[in-house]
Amino acid sequence: MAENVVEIEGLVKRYGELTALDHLTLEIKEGEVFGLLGPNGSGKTTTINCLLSLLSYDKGSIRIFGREMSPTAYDIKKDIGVIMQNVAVFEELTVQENIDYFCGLYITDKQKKRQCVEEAIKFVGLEDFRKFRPKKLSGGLLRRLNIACGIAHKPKLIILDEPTVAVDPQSRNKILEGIEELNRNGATVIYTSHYMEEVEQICTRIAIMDRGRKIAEGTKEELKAMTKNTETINVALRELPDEVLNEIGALSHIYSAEYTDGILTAACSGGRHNLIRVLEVLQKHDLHIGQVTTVQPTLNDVFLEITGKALRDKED
Amino acid sequence: MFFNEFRYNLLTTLRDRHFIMWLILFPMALGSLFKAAFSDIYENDIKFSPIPTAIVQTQKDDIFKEVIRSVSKGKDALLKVTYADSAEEAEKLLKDGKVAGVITKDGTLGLTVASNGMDTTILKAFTDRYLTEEKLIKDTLEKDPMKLPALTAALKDDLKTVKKVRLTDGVSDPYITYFFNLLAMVAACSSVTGLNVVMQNQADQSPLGARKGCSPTPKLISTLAVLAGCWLTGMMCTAISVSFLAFVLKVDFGSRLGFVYLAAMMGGIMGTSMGFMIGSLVKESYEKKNAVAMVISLGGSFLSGLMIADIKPDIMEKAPLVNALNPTAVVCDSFYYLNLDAGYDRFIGKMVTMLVMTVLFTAVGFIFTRRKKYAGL
Repeated sequence: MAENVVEIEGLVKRYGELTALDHLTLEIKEGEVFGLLGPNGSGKTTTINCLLSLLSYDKGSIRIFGREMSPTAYDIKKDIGVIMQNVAVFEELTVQENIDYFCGLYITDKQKKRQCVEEAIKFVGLEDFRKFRPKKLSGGLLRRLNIACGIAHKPKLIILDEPTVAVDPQSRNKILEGIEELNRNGATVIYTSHYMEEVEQICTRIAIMDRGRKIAEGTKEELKAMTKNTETINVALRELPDEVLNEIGALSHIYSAEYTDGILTAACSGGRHNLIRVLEVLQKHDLHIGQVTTVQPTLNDVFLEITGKALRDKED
Repeated sequence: MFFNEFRYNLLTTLRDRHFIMWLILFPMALGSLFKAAFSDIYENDIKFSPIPTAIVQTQKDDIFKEVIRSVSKGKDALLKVTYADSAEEAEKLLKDGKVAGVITKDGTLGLTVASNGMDTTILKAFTDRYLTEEKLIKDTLEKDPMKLPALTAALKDDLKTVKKVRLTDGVSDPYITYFFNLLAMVAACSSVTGLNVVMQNQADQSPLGARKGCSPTPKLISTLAVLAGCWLTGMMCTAISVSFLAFVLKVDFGSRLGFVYLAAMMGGIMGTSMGFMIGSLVKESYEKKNAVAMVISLGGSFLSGLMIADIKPDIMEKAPLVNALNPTAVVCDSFYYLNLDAGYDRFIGKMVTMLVMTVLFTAVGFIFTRRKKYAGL
């Protein structure tokens, strides 16, 4: 069984009256891509900052690689790579110099450092931009540079705090592929985001946070299994008499049926062949059936069901 | 780790446009402006100009002729001589204001002047000196004529000194004090680079600080390395300014240029440490820290006489403590004492003050940045 790389126990962080972290407990195992998912202000970044000993906390304990984490735990820090939410590079240095500088904070051997820098440049695909200053890079390339600066020293634990904010889809995919590759190469990854699609795509285990608390934890399948909804059926219909709608609503495993703007929406909870049974009812009444789709539950449904609100902020 | 930090801090600072603009180009521009503004004063009132003099020699005297020839030749000539054939012609030149005086050499040496003034005083001193040393000059010409140029050169220098001493009245030339203040301002403005020590090493100040805070490089090493880099750039700025003033604008800092460099570079180090302290005490954004540093630097420059030269004597008289505690004034005073005093006692005193201030500012900076965890980020 894989060992715990990170152990957070009963972590409490308060800002005056506001409790930013409320008895948070997490265990992250070696080789995992662990997702911290939650809306803005849910405590993800605070968790990361406490984990890195940048932020003091009121209660609890943090252990990394089996040892107590502290600001002077340099033997632990040398094996951690950090990619913060805000791009942290020197405007006056080139791409190569930036990576070399940050790598130099971890590695003193010049030969080894040079090799690591080269590999990091190739890894993020910035070979053609090595002499560029950051201000000449696009948002996506800048994010890639930010990542290269954090992983050049080949850390065992990589912490990425919302690394894809304000990134175009192409660069986002490149970043996500890169994270998966880092994980395949043996790194344990902690990934925070409020983009549930990203977390679903790359994370092997996920903790959902809200108001400083962990409200759910598990694989994505385990999390989805927590919802009542297992499938939502959508059928486009020109018309749907009320008696037919009532008949569909009365089918077993269908707990909700409504007809709005020419679309029948039937929410199912468990059961098998729900779509066939709905279509059979519609055909029996000789109704003209248009487009048919079924939608699996998302992490947003999990969040919605637990907290009663949507995971993603309106502005997102 | 130290040299990695040190090297890249130097690179980032030297490539920083604001740094180049405010600590290298701006002082050069201001120095050039001062030079242009004060060059007229210098040419008219301070730089020695040969005194237009008419010579009427009715009797053959080779010694007199040789002495007049010696003091009126070359770039450092004492007299600008016009030979007149008669006393009447010479008097006309004097009356027309074309000469400041008429020296007549017949059996005796005579001097006629139109009015009192500095040139008249020097001409009087020249004729008196000639009469006193005529025998010495004659003996020299007869026994060792090779020594005559040295003798007349000494005569010229002594008389030109009369003019300079009388003009400055024991105080530095007024225009040079502006250049001293300018150098002191550059030293104080090095505080802007000192702010970087805090910005780059405090996790609550910048994303860079947060990233560095996660690294295994101990904060003390990181801070020391960046501070050392900033000290070096502070020294470089002041050294560049001194070099530009001394060798490009040809500002005369006297014979102790090496000590001017020393004081300026020490001032640069002190200014940088002051920035480190300001950065650690002002828990606000970089822009606010920068504003505080600039207000202190430029405010100090104002009080030490950069904008109004006359303010400094008033401050020294009415608020000596302000002058003693104003870092810009301390740097400025070190230049004054270097310029005014024959010895080094007061200069060394100011250098020690700068050193003490540097240690104090650095210590405060370290005390207020020693925190490794933050309440909020």
